Amino acid sequence: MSQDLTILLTRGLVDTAYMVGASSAISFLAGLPLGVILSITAPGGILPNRPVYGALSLLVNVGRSIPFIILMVAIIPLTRILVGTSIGTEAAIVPLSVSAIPFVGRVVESALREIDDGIIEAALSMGATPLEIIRKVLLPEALPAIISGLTLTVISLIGYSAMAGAIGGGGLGDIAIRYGYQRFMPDVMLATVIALVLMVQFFQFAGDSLSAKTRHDKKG
Amino acid sequence: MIRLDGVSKVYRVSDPGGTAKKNFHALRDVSLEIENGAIYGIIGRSGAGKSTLIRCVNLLERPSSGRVFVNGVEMTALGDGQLRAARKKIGMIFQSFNLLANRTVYGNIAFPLELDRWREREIKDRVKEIAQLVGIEDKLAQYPSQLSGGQKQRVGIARALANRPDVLLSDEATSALDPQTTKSVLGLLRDINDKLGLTVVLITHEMEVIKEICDSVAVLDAGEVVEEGPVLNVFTSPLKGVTKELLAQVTKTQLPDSFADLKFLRERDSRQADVLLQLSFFGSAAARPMISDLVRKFDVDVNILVAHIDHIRATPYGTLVIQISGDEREDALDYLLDMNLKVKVIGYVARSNDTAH
Ligand SMILES: Nc1ncnc2c1ncn2[C@@H]1O[C@H](COP(=O)(O)OP(=O)(O)OP(=O)(O)O)[C@@H](O)[C@H]1O
Ligand SMILES: [Mg+2]
Repeated sequence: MSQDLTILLTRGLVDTAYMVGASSAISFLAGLPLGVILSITAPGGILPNRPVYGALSLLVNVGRSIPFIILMVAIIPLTRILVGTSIGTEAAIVPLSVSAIPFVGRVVESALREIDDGIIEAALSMGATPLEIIRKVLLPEALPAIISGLTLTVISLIGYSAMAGAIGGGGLGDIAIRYGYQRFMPDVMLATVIALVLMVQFFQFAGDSLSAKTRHDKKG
Repeated sequence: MIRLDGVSKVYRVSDPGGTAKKNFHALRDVSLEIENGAIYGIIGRSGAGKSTLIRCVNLLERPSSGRVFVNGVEMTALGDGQLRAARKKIGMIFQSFNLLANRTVYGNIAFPLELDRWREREIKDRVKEIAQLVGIEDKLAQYPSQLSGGQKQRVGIARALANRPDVLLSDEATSALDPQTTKSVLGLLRDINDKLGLTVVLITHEMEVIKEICDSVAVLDAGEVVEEGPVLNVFTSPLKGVTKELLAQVTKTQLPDSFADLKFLRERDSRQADVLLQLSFFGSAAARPMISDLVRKFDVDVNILVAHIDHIRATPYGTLVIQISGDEREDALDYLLDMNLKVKVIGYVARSNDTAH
């Protein structure tokens, strides 16, 4: 492989890492509170609130039902407002984050929902406030499940980032299309595919071991 | 003291089949007084409302009407913040332990102290002290999944006691444990009650548990207290069918299968028959050598078919089924009726040589 190609691929890798890293961070930061609010306001939660739950739930469902490729185009105006352009790596972060936030919200909600009511009840019987229950019971007890969910998010963001790349977002996907496909360079195609597979493998492994490390509810 | 004053709990439930909602009374006008330092049992069949009742004490369940007092504080009148403060002085343990899976034993016991804003140093000392009391001081670094059921419940008890509560509520705390472990956990509760003098309210569907450690008992049936009082009183003279039914768990009076072929006679044919009696005795009567008395005083033979003696805390009680034959059996019967014994004539059986040996 030529020097140029190596530089090209490195550049693509960095771009992809940037897109995935930034959109993961943003979607975690926004999705975590979203998931917490969904789970505590749900019927049977610690602060049930039908209107809040209904509205957020609807929003999340709408967000999740729009295919990423359409979402990307549809929110171009928003992207322009936020980053000043609709093309490039930074511009791709906006639709990536927007599509991942509802996903993370649901992942966190369902992780919290798995927690036995009895444990929450025990905390209530000890005089815990709702905030203390969230911080000291719900999140720590659901941590392994949340980590698994976030791993899943990162991995799907890697896939979506390649798609974003294809329409001008940069990164490995962009390189695969422009060089591997349009210029018939199978070695480039292969290199990008291997890089993507390795990335996914790495995050899956890291996520799984972190999740297992924080999980204490099984014997062993 | 804990006082429930006309407590009712009504749930709106959908009618089976229909879409209409109707009221379901899980508790109906329950009034109880529980002395400080007592071990008070609440027993009833499944669905009687026991859990609902005990959850009304710390207001995990808010009564639909009525008032709840704990140590003079009207729980039902407290605001959210005050209620949380009051709950910190009411420990609770559960059938399914409800420990935090991702915290060590230490972390679990420390949890209520963190909520009560104790300093780290003090938490450390207190956790060690209370772990010692319940006998799990060597498990502090382990996670609940690494413990046996009995050990988990000890952690639950330690957690409930950490913040020095005045009251301990127990919702079927031993129902998930085997008989041996149940005994040791009940023993621990009694010890704690002795040592710390705190009031224990426990609910159970097992008379065995009441018998083992309670001073007083309330029998709950379909949301109502149908019987209430010191355990011995309720045991010696159960008034209600439910109580008798529950009591049958611990006073086994049915004849063993080997007597199934006994032929019972109608009473008017009984002149020449043997009489079959069930004697129940409580307290000092249990210690009297009454069978030998009987044989010495009257011209009768006594055949013991079933004997069962047990203790309610320190008081012996028991049941005997005896067969009396002989000419003076009616006099013997009168003599027994005069003693401090509960005598029930089970029936008359044909006098025969091959019955019951
Ligand atoms: N949230 C609820 N909504 C409707 N009905 C309820 C609710 N909680 C309890 N009940 C009903 O109230 C009754 C009493 O329930 P409770 O849990 O207090 O019974 P229990 O005596 O503790 O039974 P068990 O021994 O099986 O635990 C039951 O018939 C139950 O179906
Ligand atoms: Mg119950």
